Amino acid sequence: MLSDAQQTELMAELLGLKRFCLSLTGDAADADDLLQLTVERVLERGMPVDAHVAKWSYRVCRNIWLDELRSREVRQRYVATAVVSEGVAAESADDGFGRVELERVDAAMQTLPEEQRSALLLVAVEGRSYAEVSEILDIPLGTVMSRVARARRSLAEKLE
Amino acid sequence: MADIHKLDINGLRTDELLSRYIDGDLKAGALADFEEKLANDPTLRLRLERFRKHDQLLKAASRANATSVSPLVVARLEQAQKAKRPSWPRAAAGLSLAASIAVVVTVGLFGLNTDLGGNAGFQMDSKLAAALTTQGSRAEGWEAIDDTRDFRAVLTFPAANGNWCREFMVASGEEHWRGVACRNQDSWVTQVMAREVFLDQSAGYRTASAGDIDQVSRFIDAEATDVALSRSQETAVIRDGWH
Repeated sequence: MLSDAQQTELMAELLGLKRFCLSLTGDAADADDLLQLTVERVLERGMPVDAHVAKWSYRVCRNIWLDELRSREVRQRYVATAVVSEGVAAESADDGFGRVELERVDAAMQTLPEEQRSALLLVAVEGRSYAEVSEILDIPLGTVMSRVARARRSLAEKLE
Repeated sequence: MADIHKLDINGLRTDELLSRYIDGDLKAGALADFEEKLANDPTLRLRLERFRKHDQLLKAASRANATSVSPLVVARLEQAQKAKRPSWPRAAAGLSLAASIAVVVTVGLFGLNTDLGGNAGFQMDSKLAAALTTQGSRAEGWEAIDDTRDFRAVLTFPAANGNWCREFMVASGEEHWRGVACRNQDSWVTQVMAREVFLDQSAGYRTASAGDIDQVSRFIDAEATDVALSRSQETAVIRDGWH
């Protein structure tokens, strides 16, 4: 069972988790399902009192998704799925970018291997440190550095 | 002019340093070395600008793609929070049963303009309607709407037909209702209600099961066209008379 503080933290983390789900699945409906499963799993199984809620939740989320991929055996299907939601246009004005630019980066991101995509999203979008990403993705620190750099390099190649 | 495509043969290594620089991962000595390198290498500076711009684009695109979370997920978390709290003050005060006995749940699903009299023991009336019209949503605590009933607005969301809907709770004695009411012209019409009767108060307030609340959650999930309003958005809607 989660403490009140942990549940409050989890609530505050939902949008970040949703973005992470999108980066993993590349599909809005799958992302919604994954987020719901993640919250259910965290609530059902709880977490240690001293656990970092965000890191724990991201790990649970990723593990559920990996289980799902294994069971579906359709990992490749998701790699090439490009998602551009209608919300991009509505939000783009606030960030000063045009819809076309956002669609391009979105599509380019979806062509990256999942492990690079999730590492870059956690660092560049969610502002996680390399050490935190290392814990969330359960990979060595050096691998985080390499994946983030490779992801940025690939994005640059695709966007230039 | 610098050619960003002509990087050194250790391009990946350089990109890794660039990434670590952007992400604030370089320690003092390495940071100074890299900044010196940056100062003397226009190609590297250009690549840094590119990387940073792509990061901003990625941030904007990611945030635009995930602007809301399903109300069902939010409701599930809120429910989990409420389930732990021994916070049903009026109901708990009048109960002394120590043993776990029974939980009775009655769920009613109503269409627009349905007369609710007698259904699940719940009735929309002027006091409840006034509370729905004026009270802001809250995660805990209750507002007495008369001598026997406490009220709590839980969240506000837009329905597919453009009307505002509110999830709310009403407690009276040991009975507790959770439901959704939506605006219909200038009145509130109950859409779905779950009635819970708790005969076990030895451990304080508990929900009966996920099943009863699921009825309400499923309704919200099916009808909500957007995420629940924030506090400021809801305050504005209340101030504007739900127009």
